[in-house]
Amino acid sequence: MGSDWVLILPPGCGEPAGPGRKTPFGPVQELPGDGPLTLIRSEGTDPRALIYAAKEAGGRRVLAADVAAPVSRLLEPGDLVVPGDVIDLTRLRPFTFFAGKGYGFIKLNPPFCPDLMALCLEAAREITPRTFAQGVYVGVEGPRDPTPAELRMCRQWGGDLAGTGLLPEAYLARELELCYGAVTVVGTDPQPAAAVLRRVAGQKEAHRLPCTCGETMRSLREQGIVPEDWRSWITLP
Amino acid sequence: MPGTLIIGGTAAYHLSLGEQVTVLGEEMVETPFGAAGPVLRFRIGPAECAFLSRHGGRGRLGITPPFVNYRANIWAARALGASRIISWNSAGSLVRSLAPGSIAGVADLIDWTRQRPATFGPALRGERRPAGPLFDPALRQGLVAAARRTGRHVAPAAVYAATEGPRLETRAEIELLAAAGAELVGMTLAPEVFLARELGLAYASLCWVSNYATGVPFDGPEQRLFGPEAGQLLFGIILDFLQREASGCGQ
Repeated sequence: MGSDWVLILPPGCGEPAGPGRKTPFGPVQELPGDGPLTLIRSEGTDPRALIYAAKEAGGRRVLAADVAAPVSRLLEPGDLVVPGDVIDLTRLRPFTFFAGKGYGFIKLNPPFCPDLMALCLEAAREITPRTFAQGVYVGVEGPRDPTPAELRMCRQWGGDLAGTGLLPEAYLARELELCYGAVTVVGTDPQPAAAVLRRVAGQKEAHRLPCTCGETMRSLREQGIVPEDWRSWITLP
Repeated sequence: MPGTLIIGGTAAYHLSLGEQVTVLGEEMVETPFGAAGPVLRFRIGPAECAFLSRHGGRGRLGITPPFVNYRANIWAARALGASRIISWNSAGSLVRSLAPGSIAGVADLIDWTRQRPATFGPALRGERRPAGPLFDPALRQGLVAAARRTGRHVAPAAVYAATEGPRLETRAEIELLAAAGAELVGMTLAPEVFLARELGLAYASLCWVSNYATGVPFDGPEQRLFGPEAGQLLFGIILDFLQREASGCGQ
């Protein structure tokens, strides 16, 4: 039995190798190595493919990294932020596994697993004291950078940093009952965030904080509205 | 010919019609955007009306808001000969004093939906979009008066933010929508009301406040009121309005 951790990293964290993983939503590239399954969020990868591949591999806890532009004036390149909430300004992405279904009203309060947020924060602090908790991450469509005026708008709206990677990933993970936690790094070099995730996934201990991430579909399952097998919940393309 | 199409939202799939209503028939309506319905035609007093469940389904919500065929539903209203649409929608409250179990007439809207077909486009064949307010003020006032007769707390002119869904909003999203002036958040009024206006149909909505939106502080236990009684209550209010209007006894 392998580890139940799955890492999702932005490009720039290593060379993908092998044929990658096939999913109904397209292929996903992975990094070689002995550690936990590590998927790459390459340009053009369907976010559903990443989460599907994580679930299919038997993952239960997904750790995601992203690079982000600072919205807060106090953030500097290299700072680590563990986001605690999100504002979704993406426009054109597949945003649910449950297209055309009668379910999918999932709660996102918070959108990240509380247990993974705590683990990420602890590990990030070991890497740099410039680590911030409970950041509000603004998901933007990209791939272009936000303009200065857009960043001002995000600031007015209560955002702390803006990136393209974590949405809709975070709530697609919740739809499939996965724990999902993230670390973002200000600037363009994703390596420090990837290092935090590897550190978290290297730990042996089980959950310390209770979470309900694995129960998104519980009531629907118990009522017999959806079957047990998660594959049958999904609308295939 | 029905003058009014009622579009039922939350719990419309649980509805029982009651005795004041005379059912005339049920049909699917073909439109250039696919089939709408089933549409139920009925008479309440002298008025002929039609009813459609927005989310379809029988005994349970059939389809979530981002995937409702809004264009087919609104096109069907015109195909049936209706000149106006009265709908009910459930919504989360961003305002502490507008508690679950309250009702609100909707006066304005912020559209935060993203990927929904929001115009009839070429099917309009150059038809001019009629001027005038998005939500019909007289219709709203009549519905608000009818809602008040239930004794419930009623807000007369709320601002509604429409989100894409089907996921619920985050706390940070609710905070920014509240700062922008939204008082209710839901997933169904856009593009429904815009499409109705494209066809020149008058439109009004009563919102059933089913819960507080994410992060809005409240006292007591959390309430999420999506039960059959919500649909029954809103349908009853709309029938009361239609009946009084038809009998000319004013509002």
